[in-house]
Amino acid sequence: MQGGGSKRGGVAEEELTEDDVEDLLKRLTVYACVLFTVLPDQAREVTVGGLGIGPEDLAQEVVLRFLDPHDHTVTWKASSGPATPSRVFGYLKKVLQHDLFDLRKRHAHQKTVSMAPHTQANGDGPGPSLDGFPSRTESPDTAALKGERHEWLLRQFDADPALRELLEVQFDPEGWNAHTNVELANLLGSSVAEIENRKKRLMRRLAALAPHQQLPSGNKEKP
Amino acid sequence: MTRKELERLLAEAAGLADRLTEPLESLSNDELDLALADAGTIPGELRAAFHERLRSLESRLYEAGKTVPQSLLRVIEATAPVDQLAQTNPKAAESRLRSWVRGFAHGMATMAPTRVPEIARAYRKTETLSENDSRLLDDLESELKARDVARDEGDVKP
Repeated sequence: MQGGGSKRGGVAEEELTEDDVEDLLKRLTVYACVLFTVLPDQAREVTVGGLGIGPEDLAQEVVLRFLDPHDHTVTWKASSGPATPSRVFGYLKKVLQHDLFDLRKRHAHQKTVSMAPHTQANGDGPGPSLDGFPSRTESPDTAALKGERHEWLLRQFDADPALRELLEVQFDPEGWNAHTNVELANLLGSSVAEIENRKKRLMRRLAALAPHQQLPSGNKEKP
Repeated sequence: MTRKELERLLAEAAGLADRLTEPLESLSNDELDLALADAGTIPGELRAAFHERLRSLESRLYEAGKTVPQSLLRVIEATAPVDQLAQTNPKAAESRLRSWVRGFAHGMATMAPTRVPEIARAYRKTETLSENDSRLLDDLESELKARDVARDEGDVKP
């Protein structure tokens, strides 16, 4: 199938099956759960508590837009090559991130107090503002928010030191110089197979920490 | 916090999520269903909710006089409840049922949307049950009921 019908002109048919679509939805849902869990601010209150949007909802919305032939905001471009499940998953993850961040930023924007722009000495309109430049250093607030979140995440694994130490090195792989499973195995004195296994357990535990909205009633499990 | 700082913070969180979900693509179907169940999402409920949204999309397209692509119709069919699926694609329905039965072994599937599980108590009438076994079964029953009530009430961990 084409995934999104005519909007995906140029992509060969039969690249994604209907089973692939359900599989994508499931993987994207787990991904969304982990993303919600690691967000360093109060995004859970905004999205789940405030807007009633949870990880399952966001994942479904993204896949639905991908399938909607008239939604051109989520489109697989022919120039990106064949729409394999793995590539489409990578693409939809980015869409989901943007959707979540848009929600978060919109909320932040509503809470921001706007400052009048400074005018130049000769009164010719606004002068340069530091807001226009990318920030390279973290403000104390940002660092504190991030630190708090990392500490909270680590505390969830107090009873499981093996997962806790794996999580800690994932926070800053540059600092530990452990990017691959072989490097992680060497760093943590373990085997590659054990690291792979630990990564799976860690991911599942993190997904389980995500806040959820209730799926609409009437969608109780049926085979 | 400036907009730039917020963007950077969110981008870092996304990078962390990407690293932490690296095993996601290598999970088997069963492992994936387990991960979903751990996260509090019953795979069958997720499919049913998605099917409803697909049907809404189909209706919107029909109402707007637009063509519904075959690819979309196939996904709608594939996510339909099993009794409908059995009429259009018996093989897929059988596969779904097998997966559902497997789910019981992992505690992922549920029989009916009951708020509190009805535990069969017939085993208590047998005389072969020791006191310890009886206590163990009582404990397990209490734990199961408590977990189910907590889930229904949305009492999930932060």
